[in-house]
Amino acid sequence: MKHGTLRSWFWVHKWTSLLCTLFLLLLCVTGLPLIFSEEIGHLTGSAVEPAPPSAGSKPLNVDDLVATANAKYPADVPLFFGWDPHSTGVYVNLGAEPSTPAPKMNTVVMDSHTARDMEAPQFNTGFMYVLLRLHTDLYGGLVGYLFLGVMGLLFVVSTVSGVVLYAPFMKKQPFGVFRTDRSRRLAWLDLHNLLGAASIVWVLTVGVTGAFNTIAGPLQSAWQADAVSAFAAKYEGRPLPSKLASVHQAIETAKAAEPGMRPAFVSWPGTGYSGDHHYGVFMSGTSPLTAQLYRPVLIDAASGRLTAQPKAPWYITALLLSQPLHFGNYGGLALKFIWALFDLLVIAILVSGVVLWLRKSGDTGRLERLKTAHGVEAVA
Amino acid sequence: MRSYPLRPLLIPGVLGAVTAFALLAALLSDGPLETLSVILLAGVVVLVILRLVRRGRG
Repeated sequence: MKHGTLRSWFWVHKWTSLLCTLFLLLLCVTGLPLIFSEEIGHLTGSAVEPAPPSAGSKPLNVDDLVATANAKYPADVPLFFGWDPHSTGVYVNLGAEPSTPAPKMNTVVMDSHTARDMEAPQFNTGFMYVLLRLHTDLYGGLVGYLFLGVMGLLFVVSTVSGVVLYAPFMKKQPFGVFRTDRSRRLAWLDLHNLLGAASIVWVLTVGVTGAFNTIAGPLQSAWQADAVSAFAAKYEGRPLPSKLASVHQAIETAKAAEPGMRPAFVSWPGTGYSGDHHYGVFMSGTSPLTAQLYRPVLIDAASGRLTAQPKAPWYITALLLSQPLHFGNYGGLALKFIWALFDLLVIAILVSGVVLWLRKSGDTGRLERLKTAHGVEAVA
Repeated sequence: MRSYPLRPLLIPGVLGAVTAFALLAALLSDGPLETLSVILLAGVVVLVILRLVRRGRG
């Protein structure tokens, strides 16, 4: 590799890293407790689960469950209804209007077999919610999402450039060399190289999926426009439904339309998930892979009849698969611990990178010192 | 002109392939394959820790 090429890669690695390091540190620090948000919720009492159902009991009618939740917030309208896949718990999101954003929603968590209100704290309050907002959008809405997405892309470029630089500098050294008996700077450099080389695929996976997740909102809007437009002409000029059909019956219709799948959540008309005239019953599969994917079944909210079962486009499938790969929540607790360990490795990579930069000299001097430290002859 | 040295990327490449397999295997399956995935990923982390503990060699 020519000296000029090496210098260019070095420049790319330095500046992409410097620009994103502060935000990546924030993402790693906030992401660490978020990995265990379910467990922390159970420990702090913010996540509640109903007791196992008694023998022979059955889930109540969903219309009754929604009415019970609505009675707690009589000025609101129902927005979403969803099932906890691990218990008999269900939740109802309500808001002042159908387009109420998540931060302003009210949520009621209930036992689906008894309609007992579990008195769960609101999901959009508390310390973990603050961490979530800092991790996802810095309280900046779409602008915040996109900004963190750009930071994620810079991190990916920084990682790739780090790999390109790794080989020329390490060709005289065994893998994992960690020299603490020479200069402190060299020890930090060895630490940076070892941690980076060992975690590169995890780092790229979480970095790319994280950046992709930041455009989830625009992607979902694009899908809405695309899926709804396919049958929009049929509903053009029709007033919004004033009286809604039974949501329980809508769910039963969706179950019959997608045998072998189970309902994950239902959206009401106007929430941005299923157009202005439909319930969206989002079905998921039962295998580890298909449980991550949703198949919407659109039910006419006025008549209760099945309208369509639009197939998710590739970008929505990619988005749905990128979410578990980013959060590490698709396995058990052991996988979460692994995620946390890798997260700590990345924090160490970022800190060691900052230390190396702070002990700086000019780029040329730094390159020469790096080559000397690693026993690299003149780069041809 | 000397060619780009690929040899230093051999072990990181193997570790990367193992990590990629483990991440996807855990996503596509559960049960024994998921357990294997966790073991493989833990192995990568343990390898790093061992190298750090056995420091001072160069």
